Amino acid sequence: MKISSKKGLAILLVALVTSFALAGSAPAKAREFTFSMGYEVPGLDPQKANSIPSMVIAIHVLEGLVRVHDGKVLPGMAESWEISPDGLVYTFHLRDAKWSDGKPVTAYDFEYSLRRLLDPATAAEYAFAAYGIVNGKAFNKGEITDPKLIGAKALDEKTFEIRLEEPMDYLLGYLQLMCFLPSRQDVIEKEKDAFATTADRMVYNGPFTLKEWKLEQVMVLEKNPLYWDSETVQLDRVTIHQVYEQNTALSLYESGEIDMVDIPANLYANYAATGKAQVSLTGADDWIKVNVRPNPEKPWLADKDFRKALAWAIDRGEYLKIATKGLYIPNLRYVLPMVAGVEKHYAEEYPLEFYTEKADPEKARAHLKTAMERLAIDDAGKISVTYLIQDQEECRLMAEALQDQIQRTLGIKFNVQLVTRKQRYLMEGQADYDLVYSGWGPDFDDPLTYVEIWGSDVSHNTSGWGNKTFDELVASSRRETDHRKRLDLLFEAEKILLEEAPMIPLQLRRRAWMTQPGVKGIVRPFVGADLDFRFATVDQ
Amino acid sequence: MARYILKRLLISVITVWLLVTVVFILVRLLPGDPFSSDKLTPDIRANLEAYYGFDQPLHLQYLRYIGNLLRGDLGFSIKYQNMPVGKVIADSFPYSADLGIRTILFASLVGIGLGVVAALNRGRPLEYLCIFIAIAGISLPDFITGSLLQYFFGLKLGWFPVALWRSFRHTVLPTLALSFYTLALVSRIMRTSMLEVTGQDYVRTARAKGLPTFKIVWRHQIRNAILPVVTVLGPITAAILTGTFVIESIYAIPGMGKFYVLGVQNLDYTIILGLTAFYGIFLIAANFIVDILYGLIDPRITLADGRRR
Amino acid sequence: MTLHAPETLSPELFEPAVADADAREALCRPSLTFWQDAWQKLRKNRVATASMIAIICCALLAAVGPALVPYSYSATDASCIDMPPDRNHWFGTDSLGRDLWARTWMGARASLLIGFAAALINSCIGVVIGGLAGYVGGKTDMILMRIIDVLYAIPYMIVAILLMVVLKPGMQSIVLAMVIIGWIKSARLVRGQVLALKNQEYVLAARKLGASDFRIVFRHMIPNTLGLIITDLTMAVPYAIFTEAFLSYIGLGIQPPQSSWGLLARYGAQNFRVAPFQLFIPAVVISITMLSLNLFGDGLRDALDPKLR
Repeated sequence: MKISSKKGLAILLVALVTSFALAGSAPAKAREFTFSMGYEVPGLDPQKANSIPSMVIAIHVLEGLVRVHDGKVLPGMAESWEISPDGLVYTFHLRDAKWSDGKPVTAYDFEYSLRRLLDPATAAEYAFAAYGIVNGKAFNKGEITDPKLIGAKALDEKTFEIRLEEPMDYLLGYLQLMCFLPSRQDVIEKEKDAFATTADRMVYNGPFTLKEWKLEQVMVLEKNPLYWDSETVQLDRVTIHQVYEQNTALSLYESGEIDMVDIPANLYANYAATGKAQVSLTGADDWIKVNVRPNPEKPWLADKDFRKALAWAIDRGEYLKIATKGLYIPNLRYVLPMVAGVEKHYAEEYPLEFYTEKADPEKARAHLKTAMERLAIDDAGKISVTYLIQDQEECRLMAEALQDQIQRTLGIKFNVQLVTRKQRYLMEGQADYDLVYSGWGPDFDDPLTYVEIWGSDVSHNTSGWGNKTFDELVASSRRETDHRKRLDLLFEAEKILLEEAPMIPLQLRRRAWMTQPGVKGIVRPFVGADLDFRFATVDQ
Repeated sequence: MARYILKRLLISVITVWLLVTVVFILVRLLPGDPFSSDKLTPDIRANLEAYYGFDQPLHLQYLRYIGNLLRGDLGFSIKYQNMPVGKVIADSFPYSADLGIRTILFASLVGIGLGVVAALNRGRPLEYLCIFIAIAGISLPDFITGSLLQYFFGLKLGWFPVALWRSFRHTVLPTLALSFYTLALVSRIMRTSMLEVTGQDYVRTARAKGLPTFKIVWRHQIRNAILPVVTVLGPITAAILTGTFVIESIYAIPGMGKFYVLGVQNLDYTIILGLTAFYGIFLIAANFIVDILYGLIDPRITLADGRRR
Repeated sequence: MTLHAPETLSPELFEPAVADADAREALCRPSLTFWQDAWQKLRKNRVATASMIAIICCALLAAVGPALVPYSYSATDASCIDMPPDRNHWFGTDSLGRDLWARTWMGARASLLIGFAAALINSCIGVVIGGLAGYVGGKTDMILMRIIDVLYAIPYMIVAILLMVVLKPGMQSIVLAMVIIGWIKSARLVRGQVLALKNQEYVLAARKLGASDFRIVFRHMIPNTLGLIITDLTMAVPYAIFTEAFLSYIGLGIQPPQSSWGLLARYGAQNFRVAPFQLFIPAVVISITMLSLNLFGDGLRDALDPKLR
């Protein structure tokens, strides 16, 4: 690690203080890890959480029944578990673990947390994550009021049982989601509204504890000596600065103030060339959603061939090279290729290249011709569409690149409409658009998280597109207990979606970051918390 | 005078109430709502609306807000779950105020100095130097000066820390970057105003009486020319003290500035209202002080009894 | 000079003077109106003339600049991304491979139009309202100033977003969005000046001589605040140019793929580490234009200064 003399001094001081604090222990140099985060952390109440940055902190200061690391499910608060043959009942056996105030972690904590998550009075945004649990949805909607009816029960202090409505073979990984992390009844009842508003108004059972939290400024995590597996925690102190300006974060990194930084897209090519940049998928899958409802003014939107003309006119490789310097990569199908299949990645088991990386202008114009003949339009110049995007520099650049490609290839009018993020949600929700830049980040590591949102009764699907066969395939996949058969059904559904083209796939987002030499073991998952330093180490 | 001040105080309270009411209505007219996100379903939206009392009629929500405000309670943020708006302000304001005071002091002193020098050296190279500095200040906005100062003096030369707010050395670059525009504005207005005053009879009289130049400049010209500078500095001070988004972001200073922008972006109604009321109080106070300063600087100006015939 | 006093004075040397009343009143200096005189003085001021030429050049480039290169301002090109200036691309290219010369001068059209229109309209409204408040004083002043306080304290972002919802994006909307709050600064400035001038001797004299309020304001006060108004106006232009960039950012401003100086500078600042010229070129173009504008404004101020006649 490159350390300026000043920082070295600071570390020495911290080490000195720490050694006084742990009176008796030999004065060792604290192993520190510092990085910057460019997003808001809206809160740390596990059940109320709604954002990935919160989740990053939460998975390090709290631990759920299991811990997911690098895509693998490891035991967490539960030492072991059994799954019933029909895949509907999960029984977890808890280990002897302690909260940071010394009290034991029990199955009742998990029972309380799940009931709290589903309680409509909590108003948890992620309550839908527990709708698969027996009576979860009914309780959250206020249809039933007895929490004992929820299929999540503590059988005794050390045994916790979850009963599902339908099999969810991805459930274990799902439990890493922040809303499933435990919170403790007595603490919440004592702190009431002030729960989790400062570092000392919470209890922790994770590898670290939160020592300091200044809203939108800095968070300091310290190794939790009471954590059940604390010997394997290699960091003594983690400092997280909230820095919004990417160039500033980069300057802090280059001046040695921080150990890890995200690289902005416009600089990605430069750092990639030096070999310093590390990249990984964020899980976000972006596409153009088309409003396919009958529209007398723009009848072409409802035409499948017109939509395919757009899709084939986009040169994904070139568009991403110029708009994101190659940081985002083309998506030639719908589902994120990296999600889990049965044994390997989904795309390895179910390969599909529906579109090509390069545009196919011939094909695009042929589709356009078919559509124009069907609609009796003689001049492509009479066709206009408006593409709704939100007010981010990145979105603007990408839209301008698309606009130029599509107008040049098809000769139609392609307008871009910029609105605020909240207005985009509003307009997208009310189906007040022709085309909208949309996307999805996965909640769990399974193709279902992507495929299910195109069901005809799903609130996210505002395109007006609905397909009976598609709906049936998704529904039967939910009932299917055999993993491979389940994925077969989802693959069929994916193909229907692409063939019908209510959406035009664009790209898979990636993030680029770099760490100072000596920092090892950082994992950037694409589901849930996007940063995992639980097993990270730094050189002394 | 005492009656005038009392009257102004009373009117200030009414102004703040008016401001809060107007903003209360305006934020509700903004497209979208605090909860909307990619994943929100109608059922969960209903739970959230009930939790925050948004399911009640708007006038009841308004009365409740005003009632709480009268007790000094600004409510809870929506984005930052359970975080009292008062705490958000209390935690971030000191940083903004610290940076703001440094900036206003530096910008007004140097700005007035440059303006005076420019006015006294009309047509000479020194004037053009002052103009160049001033024009650079107004044609390069804070996002450019901020980034450039950080890149060259922070990262490349290493004279100052690139960001964060810890010691005096950390304050230098943000103060400079934030001062630039105000400094330019003040110096331009000061120069123009000085020139207006130079031709006045009392300045000519003073010169004819043989007063030393320094005394003329100080006692007669600056004092009479400073009025417009005071006018522009009033609102600028209020704005800078309560946080500036761009400079605070570039230098990662934990001030209030970002909460205005994030508040509006996230439609965090309570944060927007709380911060606007806070800023409004500063602004009204600043303009109040400006009006009082008018009378102190130029005793001929009276505000209390309107038109003098 | 060959004239020397003759040794003797003889009567032939003298001519009787005709006692003609008309001739006695005749003026040797050609009679000039205030504006003619100002124009003459302005033309004689070399700095102001040069500045005017620079501004005209800039306007010309805005008109014909984009047509001088074979590239469209909107055509992207993956083969030349972020290319520094060279023989083909005089100002280099941006991140999408678009020619920056074409984009800079296309942007100049929007920015100059918006900058001047917004600044002029703001000044006009500001003069009327500020003049009214300052001159009438009393209750009128109090009410107008408190309304101004409320308007000024409303976060601009809220106003801009609401306008975006109501208006269609376009030039008029952008100018309207700037004018809606922009006049306040000028109004406060003019009010302060009018308050100070109201009790000056010449105003009192004019009033005692029976001049109407209208005449006092327009013949005496406005010309005496003109210097400040011009300074304020020249400073308001760059402010408007950068406000446009902010408005574009939230969707009200220039629509893709159009460009503006503010947007170019904004993107340049972000991409500064990759391609510094993307920041320097717009910054220099803006600065030169603003420098010319301000120097021209100074010249105009001097030319219009009744005391320097």
